[in-house]
Amino acid sequence: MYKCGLSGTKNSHRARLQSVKHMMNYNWGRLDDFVERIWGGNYVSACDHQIMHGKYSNGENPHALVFRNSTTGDLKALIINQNVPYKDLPVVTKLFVGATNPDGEKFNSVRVNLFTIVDYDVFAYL
Amino acid sequence: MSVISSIILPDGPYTDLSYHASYILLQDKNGYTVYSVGENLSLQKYYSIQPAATLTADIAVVNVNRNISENNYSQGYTYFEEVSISSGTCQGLLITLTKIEDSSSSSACVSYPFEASSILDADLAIEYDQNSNSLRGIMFVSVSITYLGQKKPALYAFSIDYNLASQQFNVVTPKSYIDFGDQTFVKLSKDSNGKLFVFEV
Repeated sequence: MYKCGLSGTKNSHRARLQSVKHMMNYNWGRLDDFVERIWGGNYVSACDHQIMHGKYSNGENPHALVFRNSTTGDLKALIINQNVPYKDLPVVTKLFVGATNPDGEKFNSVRVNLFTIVDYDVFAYL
Repeated sequence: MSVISSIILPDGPYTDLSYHASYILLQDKNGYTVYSVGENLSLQKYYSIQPAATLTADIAVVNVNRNISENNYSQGYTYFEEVSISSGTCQGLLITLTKIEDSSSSSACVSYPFEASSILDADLAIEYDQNSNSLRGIMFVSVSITYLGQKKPALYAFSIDYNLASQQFNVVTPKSYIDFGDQTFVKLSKDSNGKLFVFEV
């Protein structure tokens, strides 16, 4: 179902949304597109046509870098974050980004995520 | 003591790491300290600041010359980025860029549309933009806002442009928050044409 065309996704609805603790989001896009939204006072959301936006995991203290895999040519995002114990994750966070291995990783340990991300050239067509 | 940031070698042909600036930023109870990495991986204190009201600090290699090779890499600079709240005569966010190679620095005092006490987290990233001969970047500040009686964290994004020729800042303060979140980390990336991309988590 294409949700972005529904009236409920307009700014008035979005202003009532809540941030969910320990749910980590990403935004990936051109600097100029971010700057345009800053000038215009607009939101970035999953419905944005130029900036990729989504939820990818639970945790805290995220750090990231973008690099190209020299073997495959894929553009990758390497994201490191600190784990949060299962008991500290809100129900909504577990619901949307999962906790299928409760406390399988030690408290205070870090998690490394590696994603293939939308390549630079594709943004010219968005 | 915790590692806040370290320089990752930029793209380019090289065989000898001595051509590259290598710095590590550490934080302890006394504040932030930039160390240069010398021979045999020895650390030499290079630059330090007090923790007073510092929101975020980072180091970035800015390669002014796009044609990086072993012989001209030295034309790249290393900047220490710092964001403070209401420091001295600045009743706003104070953005300071210090060129580590010669300790020269430039600052911009930026107004913000929220209470300083509501700030939760911040991060800043800059890169060299060849087209405008400027350091361009973006800063995210996470702030606790109240909407319909409920508190929720929201991210404000500031656009930053520092012209190297005129040494003037152009910072755009956001009219509203751009996203949600109580923590933020922002990194800039370049495509092969030098166009800047933002990765924010």
